[in-house]
Amino acid sequence: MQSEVRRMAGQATVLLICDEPLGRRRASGSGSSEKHSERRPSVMSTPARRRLMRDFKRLQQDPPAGVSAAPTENNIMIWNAVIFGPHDTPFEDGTFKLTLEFTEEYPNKPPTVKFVSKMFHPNVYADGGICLDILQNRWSPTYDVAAILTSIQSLLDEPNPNSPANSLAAQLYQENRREYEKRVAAIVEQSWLNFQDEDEGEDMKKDT
Amino acid sequence: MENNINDDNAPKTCEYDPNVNQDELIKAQEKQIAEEIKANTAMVGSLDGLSSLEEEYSNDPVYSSKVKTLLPKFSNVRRTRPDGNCFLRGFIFAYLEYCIHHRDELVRFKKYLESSKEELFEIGFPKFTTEDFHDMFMEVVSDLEGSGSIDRVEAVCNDAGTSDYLVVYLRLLISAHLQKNAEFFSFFIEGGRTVEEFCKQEVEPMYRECDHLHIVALTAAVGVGVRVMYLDRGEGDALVSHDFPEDKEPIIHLLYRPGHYDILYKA
Repeated sequence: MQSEVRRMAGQATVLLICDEPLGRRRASGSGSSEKHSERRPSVMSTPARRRLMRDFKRLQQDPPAGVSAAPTENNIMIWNAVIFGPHDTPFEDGTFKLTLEFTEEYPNKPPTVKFVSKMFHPNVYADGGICLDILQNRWSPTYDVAAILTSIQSLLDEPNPNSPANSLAAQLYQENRREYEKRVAAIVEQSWLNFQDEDEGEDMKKDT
Repeated sequence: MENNINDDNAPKTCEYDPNVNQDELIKAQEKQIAEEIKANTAMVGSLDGLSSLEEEYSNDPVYSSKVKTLLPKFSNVRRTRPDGNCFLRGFIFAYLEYCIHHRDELVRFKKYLESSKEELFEIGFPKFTTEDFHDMFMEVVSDLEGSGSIDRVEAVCNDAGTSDYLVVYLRLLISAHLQKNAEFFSFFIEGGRTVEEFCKQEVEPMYRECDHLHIVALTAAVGVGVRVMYLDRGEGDALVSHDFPEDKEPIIHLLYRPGHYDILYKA
């Protein structure tokens, strides 16, 4: 399952590298004759977009364990991501989809991150929104996409019941762990369904 | 502060609705306020005469008599955007302006910047992103070495991407200095927080206002003297001033009004 997900994220990535020359900014460190024009952002290359290309490059070169992400095909400001449920937790084997929506103020301000897959967790709202300090008042511009996703991944098994976004999940987590884990198991199973649909679509394309 | 923030249109969220994501609502309102400030003020404004300050307080006897005492010593003021980054934006503008007229200082600063990167890595800042901010700063300084003019400093400090990157890097330098000297600074941190927690909450995030501690740390880390003139409703006609660090001749002068810093120019 996990390798399939990685493969899917990988396909999206190839498309993007081709039409995005901006990521080369400063990549080689020299080229003094071009330096002036490189520094001035054109309409296309805003600081946010430049940084997102860097984030993306890093995700490919040095992929963190258990998460994967790529910009959508035609908009670098919107990303799709997958977080794998951490081992030895009730979320194990889950493949949870998320979206990350960046503004031109990135990395000064955090993106809006939401679970697309159904989630049952004390700090995740019904609409998939996530209550996590680093995505709000503790955001630092030194966090990149990889850091965001690994933080959310750790949040899965280390909920903060003091700031509940889902009061039922928070209550069950504290008072009835068995029932909590049952509910989590259900959304873990649901998370596979999304991917099965898409995999079937992929396979059909290959057959023709 | 000097902006008329019109929040009549702000969403009314008096009643608690459990189905609404409260964080999103708060974020939306904060964003609206920030957008208005952004639309109304440059990150670092143009050089104004000190008389503009007098005019600002023509109906306020306490402030206007205090502004008068500034007049013989200072000639001009440059306003910064009140977005929580005003101290850092004012600091870096005034410092770069000083550097283009004092090449020795520019050389010294460049050396310091170069070595600061490793220090930040040692503290544990992520290499990948920290390098990005560092490289941008080095680029700006190298550029000023060549074509250093006040126009260039104005352009750099008002280009959103560049200016914010410089501010981020200064925040990292402050954080690193506080953490390296945590034992000392821990006595000054309120709320039972560790120095590291304080840095994560009050130093590293953008738009967080700088307080004494930030200023002490930054001036010590960079080795630059700053004099702050405090314009407030405190007693007496004279403005209270404070030098950071205390034993260093100030090369940067900032005007403090509660919650905000602007740049002052000596007469």
